[in-house]
Amino acid sequence: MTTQVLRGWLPSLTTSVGCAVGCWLAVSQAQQSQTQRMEQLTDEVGSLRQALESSSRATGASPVGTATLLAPRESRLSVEDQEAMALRVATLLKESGGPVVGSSAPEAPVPTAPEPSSEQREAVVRAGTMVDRVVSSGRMTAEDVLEIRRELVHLRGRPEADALRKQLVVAINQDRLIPAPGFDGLP
Amino acid sequence: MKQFTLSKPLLRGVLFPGVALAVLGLAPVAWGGLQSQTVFCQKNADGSGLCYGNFIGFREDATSTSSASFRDDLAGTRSFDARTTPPGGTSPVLYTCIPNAAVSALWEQALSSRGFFRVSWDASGTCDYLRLVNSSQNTNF
Repeated sequence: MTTQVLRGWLPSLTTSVGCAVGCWLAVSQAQQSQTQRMEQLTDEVGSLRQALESSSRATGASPVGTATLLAPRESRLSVEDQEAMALRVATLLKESGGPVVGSSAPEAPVPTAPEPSSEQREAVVRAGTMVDRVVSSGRMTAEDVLEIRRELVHLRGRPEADALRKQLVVAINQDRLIPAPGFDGLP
Repeated sequence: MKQFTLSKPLLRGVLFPGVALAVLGLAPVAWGGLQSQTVFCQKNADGSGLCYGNFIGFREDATSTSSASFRDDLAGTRSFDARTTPPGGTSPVLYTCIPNAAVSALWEQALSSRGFFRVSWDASGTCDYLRLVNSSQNTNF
């Protein structure tokens, strides 16, 4: 009797358990391989940056970036990864004033913004006061964001607006300003 | 009283398929394709930092407050922000940056991106690098 019951239920039971274990192993394996690949890529970029900073120090140039550096490690990268890293190195070299092979055409002068109107000057003062207030308080509510945004609308495309936003961004990234939960973007 | 014993046919017919299926799991996945869910952000004391991952990774993160956004509006205000809880941390941390001209050139693509992204920024809060990857493992954005 017991054996008959087992013959009836055990096949489906063990097949189900087998399937579940198999699926779990497959998913774990895929996630692990992806994580390892990401770590490899981070290591490679870190080591390239480290090499670049060493080079910059040797030539007296200012260091580029301050991201945490990781120990270099050998790895095989795809062509796509190598191209991305080559592009990144070129950008870093350019920013650090180092030699860059390629176009040597002089950059076009940056157009200067026209003088702000009196209305815009007032908006800059009001928005600046609000930004200073939220930065010094360390908190930024959704209402604060809307208020600052209302003022910045008058400064569309102006450098003053960018500077005020950057003030908020730097304070947030340095953990000196904590937006309220439900943060819906910068002003 | 009947004693329970596993006969050889029972062993072959029942246990073997289960074990074989479990072993199949160790072989490279061929039917489902690789899918990834990645979330990573870090920043330094001066505020510079980086984030990488995909939207499904942020959305399905173990921490329910995790999120990542590329934003734009009528005023041309573009920004990136992400919120994650660092390993061992108890409260979410916000990361944000405003793209420079070079990164801004890719912003339209970032807004409609469904794949992997990597953003890094400097101490002034300027996004100075953006990488977008459209790949099969990120299709379930």
